[in-house]
Amino acid sequence: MEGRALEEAIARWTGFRPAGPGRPFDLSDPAGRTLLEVKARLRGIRDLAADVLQLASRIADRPAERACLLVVASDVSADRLRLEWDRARAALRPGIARRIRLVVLDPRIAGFESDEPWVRRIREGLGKSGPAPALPPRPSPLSAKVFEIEKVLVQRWLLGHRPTPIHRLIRDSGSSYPMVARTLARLEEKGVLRRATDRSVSLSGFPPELWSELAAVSETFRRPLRFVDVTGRSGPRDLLRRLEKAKPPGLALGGVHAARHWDPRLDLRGIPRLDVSLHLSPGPGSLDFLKALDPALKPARDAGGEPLLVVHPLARGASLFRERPGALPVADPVEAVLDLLEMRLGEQADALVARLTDGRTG
Amino acid sequence: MSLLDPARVLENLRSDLPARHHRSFVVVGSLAAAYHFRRALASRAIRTKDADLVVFHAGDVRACQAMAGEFLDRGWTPRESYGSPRPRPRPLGTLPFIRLYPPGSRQYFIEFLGLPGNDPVAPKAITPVRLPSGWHGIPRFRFMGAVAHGPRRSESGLLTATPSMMALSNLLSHRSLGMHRVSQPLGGRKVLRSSKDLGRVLAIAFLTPREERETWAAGWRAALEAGFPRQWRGHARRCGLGLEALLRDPAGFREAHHAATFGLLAGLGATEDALRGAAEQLLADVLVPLREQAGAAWER
Repeated sequence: MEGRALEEAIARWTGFRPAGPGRPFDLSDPAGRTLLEVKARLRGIRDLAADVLQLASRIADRPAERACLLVVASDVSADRLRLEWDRARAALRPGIARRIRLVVLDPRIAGFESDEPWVRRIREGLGKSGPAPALPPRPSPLSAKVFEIEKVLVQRWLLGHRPTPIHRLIRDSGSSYPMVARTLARLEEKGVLRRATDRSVSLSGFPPELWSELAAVSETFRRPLRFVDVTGRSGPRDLLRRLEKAKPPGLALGGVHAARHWDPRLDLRGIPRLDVSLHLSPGPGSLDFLKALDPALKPARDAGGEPLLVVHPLARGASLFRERPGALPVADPVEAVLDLLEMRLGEQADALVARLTDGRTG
Repeated sequence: MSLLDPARVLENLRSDLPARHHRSFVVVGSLAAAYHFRRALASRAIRTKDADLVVFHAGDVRACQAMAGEFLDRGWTPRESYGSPRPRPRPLGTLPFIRLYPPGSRQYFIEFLGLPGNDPVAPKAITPVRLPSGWHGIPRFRFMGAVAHGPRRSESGLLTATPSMMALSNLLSHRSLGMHRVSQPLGGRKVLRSSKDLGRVLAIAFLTPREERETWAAGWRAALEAGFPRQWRGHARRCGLGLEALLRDPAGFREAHHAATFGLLAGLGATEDALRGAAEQLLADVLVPLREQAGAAWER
């Protein structure tokens, strides 16, 4: 629910009155003491600063009034929001800053909750109307977030999983509901999405066009980190031995090792590098493991030469790693295929996809 | 400085030395290192001038006298360019070391070094030895004992120090870089003594497979406990401070690289970055665990 429809609904649930055109706020309580500016979705920091300024200018000369900026969904992270909110308030006179507050209903943003009756009524009202937007979301252009969401869907399709509930897609991809909705709209537009009646979704088949698109942007969005061994004396086996011993958190084998896990018949001998996936969010994954692994590993850009280790950061909600008893986990098959493609091993990548999709039609 | 084939030199030593003394000493230094890495070095000749022999019973004056005497009887000749034998055993600092050319050759010479006792404190002690030509000295360096720990038998049957223990000995000997420079130029440069010795450590670390190097900490601890029963923890905790100083000192590191690539690593194309990487690996894989062991033992 967005814009005017949302304001009208809030007015119904709370008894607040619409402010009317030309006012720097959307609603006010019956006594006219609490002014409410409603943001169905906070898209960026610039919106926040502008809204705070508008509200401040309204209440500056009316000491009895208080203003509240109500955010239903936020594309801005909690940390960033906190930082910018503090900054915006710091620019105001204390007497005004004290009378402006921020309430965020988005459950992913902690620290701006409120249990006031009117806020509770809005939350209940939104819950009854469901999270589905009243208007169809705009299809999203391909971005890093979209890339992650689509990879999650392809991964689930490749492994023959059941359709994915949307809440799980939100969790696994680490994206907001609006972003997931826009991505699904994009996939629908391409004709490759199937929606189930229980608010689950899946790909309608193996989408070669989508796959090509993901492969084409893979390097741009995955941003692999390449490291060379400056001594020139270590090999991937040496690194693998040390990694298996250390088992750093948030790390999984990718590349040829993951590919061999998903298809042991693949011919991938003699590849002189080790690929790993590093889950960055929200787990403990960090590059700290590198120093213990091998202090002679230096960024390839600085040192030149062929990389011995390639780290693929995974910035999403769930790692989707496949755990293995007593061994490092392996990255999911999508990451494995993208690793192979990055190594110019297109034939082996095709063979892995063919093996995983063998006999499946949708 | 000559180009020598390490396997051939050891074979010559074996044939030129009385058989009953073959187990009385261990070959150390560049010759022993080059012999150990002969496959990695593709049997390349190495630049060296001497074959350092650590004599196990160097503290036993009579045994040393007898041993050196026998060498001379078999045609070994003194190398006296570093000083003539003295008529008296004092002062110790003026005594020349025992350096002998093999029979009929001046391609290289052997030098007698001695083992220190337990928990030695002085950096260097000298044992005076009387030979027919006059008084000589056998130096016993404080940290030389490590090289006699777990020596390997070469194909010639002679004992050679392991690269790991030579690295330990050099690391212990240099806790800082100091100012002292070598007397004989290496490739035209009189480098810091510490850079030369630590450059040897870097060369050994570079040539040793990492999996093997990871086992060094346990051996180093055993050698320290054997040589310094009362002081090993302190030595273990300070071991490698000179290497860390070298990593922080670009000029010193350049000299270490020069010394390593002029000697053991000649022709292998080892860059400064490569040796720096090897040094960092050595710190992480061996020195940090060794220090942790010493710290943990101290706590108990």
